[in-house]
Amino acid sequence: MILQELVFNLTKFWSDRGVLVHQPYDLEMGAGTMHPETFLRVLGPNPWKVVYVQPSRRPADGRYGENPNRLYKHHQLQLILKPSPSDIQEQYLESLRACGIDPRVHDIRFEEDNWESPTLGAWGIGWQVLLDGLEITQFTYFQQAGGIELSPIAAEITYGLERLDMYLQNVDDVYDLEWAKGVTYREVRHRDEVEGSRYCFEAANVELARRQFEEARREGERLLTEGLVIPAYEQVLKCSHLFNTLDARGAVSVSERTLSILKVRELACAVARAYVESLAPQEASA
Amino acid sequence: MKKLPFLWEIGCEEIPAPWLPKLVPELKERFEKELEALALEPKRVESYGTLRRLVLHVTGLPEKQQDRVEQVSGPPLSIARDDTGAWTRAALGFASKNGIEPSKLEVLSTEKGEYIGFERKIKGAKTLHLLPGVMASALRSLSFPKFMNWDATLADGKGAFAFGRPIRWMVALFGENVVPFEIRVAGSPPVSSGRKSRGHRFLGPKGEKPGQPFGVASFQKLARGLRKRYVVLDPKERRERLASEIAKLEKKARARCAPGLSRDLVADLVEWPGAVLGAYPEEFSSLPEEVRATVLIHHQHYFPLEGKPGFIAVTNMAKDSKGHIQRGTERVVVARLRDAKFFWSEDLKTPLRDRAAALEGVLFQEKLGSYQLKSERMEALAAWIAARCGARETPVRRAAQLAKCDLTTGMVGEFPELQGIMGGLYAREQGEPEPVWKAVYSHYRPSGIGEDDGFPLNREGAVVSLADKADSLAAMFLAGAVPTGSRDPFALRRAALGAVRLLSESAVELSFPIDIPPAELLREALRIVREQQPGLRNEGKAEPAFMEFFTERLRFLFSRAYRYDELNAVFAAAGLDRPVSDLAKRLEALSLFRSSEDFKALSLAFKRVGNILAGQNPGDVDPAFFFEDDEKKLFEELEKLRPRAEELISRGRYREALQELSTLRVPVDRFFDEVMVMAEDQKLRENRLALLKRLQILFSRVADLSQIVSGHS
Repeated sequence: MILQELVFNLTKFWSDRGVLVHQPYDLEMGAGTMHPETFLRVLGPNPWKVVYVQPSRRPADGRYGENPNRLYKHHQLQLILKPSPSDIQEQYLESLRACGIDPRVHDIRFEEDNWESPTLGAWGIGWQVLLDGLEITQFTYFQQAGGIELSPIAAEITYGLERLDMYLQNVDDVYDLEWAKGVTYREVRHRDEVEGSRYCFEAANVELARRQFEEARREGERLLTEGLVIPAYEQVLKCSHLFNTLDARGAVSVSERTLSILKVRELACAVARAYVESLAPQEASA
Repeated sequence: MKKLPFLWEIGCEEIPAPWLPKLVPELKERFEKELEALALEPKRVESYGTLRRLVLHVTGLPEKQQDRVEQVSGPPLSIARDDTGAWTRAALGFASKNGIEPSKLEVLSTEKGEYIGFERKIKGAKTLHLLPGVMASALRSLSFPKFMNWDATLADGKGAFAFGRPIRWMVALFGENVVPFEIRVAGSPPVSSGRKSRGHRFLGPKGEKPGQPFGVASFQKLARGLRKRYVVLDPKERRERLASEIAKLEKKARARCAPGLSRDLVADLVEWPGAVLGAYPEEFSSLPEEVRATVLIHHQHYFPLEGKPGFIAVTNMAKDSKGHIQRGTERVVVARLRDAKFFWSEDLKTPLRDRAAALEGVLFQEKLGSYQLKSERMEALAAWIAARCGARETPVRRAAQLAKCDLTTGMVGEFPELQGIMGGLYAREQGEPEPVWKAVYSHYRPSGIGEDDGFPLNREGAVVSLADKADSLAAMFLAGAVPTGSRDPFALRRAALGAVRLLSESAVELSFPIDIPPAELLREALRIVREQQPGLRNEGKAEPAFMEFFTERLRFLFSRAYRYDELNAVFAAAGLDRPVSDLAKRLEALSLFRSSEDFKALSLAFKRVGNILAGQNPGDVDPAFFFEDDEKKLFEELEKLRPRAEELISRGRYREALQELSTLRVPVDRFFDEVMVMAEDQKLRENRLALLKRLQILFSRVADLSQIVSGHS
């Protein structure tokens, strides 16, 4: 199954089950979890069902386009169901059938794997889903986000698109994947990987990134005092990505690391609190 | 009374396999306790489970509680009757409050005097009505290593119901009846108890959709129904099936599985153990075995084959008809081995020693800074230990410098459990001498008690390991990062246990006694940390707390072989200021001695000595003031024996010393029989007390015998 068809099929599958199809967020981020459609929507009492693809940048995982499994930027298909339906696992397994996977001839397992993001003050309980020993999905029941205990609990399902499709297409090198008919992943993304790796390992301007990190953090704090929750959260995203870039560049010292993570978490938690407070009146009127 | 079976199945989303071995018996224990509290006595309670279900089977459970009689007591008799013998207002009030005729009142005699009251008959409740409460309490009392909120509440009035994983179905049958039970889940229909179970997710009998609910009427029918639907409910049976699946493939492969992966764990990862045989290309055989095993065991839960580039993967499927599973597992393994091979060759490009500078960027602990600082301290402490116990300084220093360098390698970044081992392997590849690489390789051992990974491979390894652990402990105590209750984020208890084991077992394991008194080692470790980091605040409190913590670990280690009173006796006489081996010898001597003839009498005498001397502070003995024969005799015998006993003690021959001292039993007994210690004459009294003090001091040099609890021997 070509990559774009995999995206279509999964999106259609969930769309047919009443899930809103959203779009990738237009800022750099490390995972689909950081999209406001996840981080903010899992907060507060309101139900929400959303699915989207999120290009996810992990500067330290860059390999100059030379590693068959590791990417500077990969793609996650992210699903949030809040509250989580009681047949969530069955629905998820159905979605695999939509990808052409017949569970009767494979070995599909849910093995304990809990998720935690110190920068977002978030954690959850769940599994990695293994298909014949290969991790294809992270399945998480969110317990906390932005330092706030959640209720109702949202289920997050994150499909690793490249991984899953490498299995489906039976290729061992991500760059051999067929993205569209007759067009390989290499043609679409290889240059991006090479230059992205060079950028974050060699060329990124450390001083500039440090300054931008501080500025984004201060801007985020200021925006919160203006009551601008989403713009403030965007500054959290910027901080997080700048930190990852600095880290890949080897420019984060020991003491700096802890401090920087703490700074981002504080801002993320403040955003989460402000977001929940902003929901309160609607809740009262409902 | 009629007795019925109770069947309970709690159907869950996948419970983490490592929890099951504790969870399954715990369900039975909790349930039994709840029944006992209600005076319900079943014939048998058994529990079973897989990762998707916990099952309880109770037989011979009475249909209802026994009727019983309860005494209700009211006011004291003195105020319940007036002079004429008629009931007072107090008595009448009590009767009407309890809704009984005054004629039913009677006099109850109790320890506190006479009261009025009456007997009430209480009808036993029906078990069917009690069970929901029992089930709720049992569910709430299960101790998961990690709980999750899943928006659930129980009807027991206690509100939110956290559990290990969400519960999705429940069978609860008492005899023929469904025991009503409901779990409410926000946003979903409630989970209600019923008669339907579920089998394997993907496998089932012909003509039935896999995973469909199926009816059950009894435990036997459940177990049989599950087997038909590819679930082996009994953990023991699942293990047997796993073993036979593995054996088949071992035969086919003509190779055995290497050790290192728990079969129990693997058996609990699945409901229907199957297995496939996988292979990887010969080119990966050049990777060290430790690396291949880590990829297969820790990351995939596959069994490596001994001496062959292959593995056995346990599956949750009955067969692999299209070969998809085998091909899939092989691809994952190859991708991971390829990663590992990449790291192996990349990491080798940088000499291990050159990585030391990069340790500046690896955090040890926030207040204590980087691993570079830790390495420096480790080297200093290791050199000190080496000097104290006769290890060669050069390889010890080299190993200490290299020990933490692998933290910056790609391989350890990817497989953290290979720390130490990788450093050793890289050091070997890069031509470090054997004493050095073996020391680096094994300097995390022993990692504590329980999951035992063995002992360091050589003396240098033992020294570096001890330095590493003592330094971690000293530094963390100075930084105030001390374990509290169940919280021990830096695993200091394990570090201390490891250190204690090195001190006590190195002589046997490596023919290399490390006879440094722990107190000296710990003080040196503290000194080195303070010297490097004078800013740490916890100064004053750290040392005593540290010593106490270490003593506790030491006692814990010894408690596996010795009784607590023996520990009390020895630790009252000697502590961290003596080498661990010396404490061990004392304990051994004492535990042998306590079963001897002389011991009981002596320990009794010793207790008397202790009691008499309590609060007294006599001066020295003056032989001129002995008056009675038996005190003279005791003094002479004591002095005659002293030089020999002291020599034995100073040589650590405690068993013989105790033997020697026990010859004093006769004169001591006679002394107590014939001599009045607390004489009126002060001078006489003081002199007798001084004699006893002398006796006590000599005995106490081995152990404080008064701590021994008599009664067992």
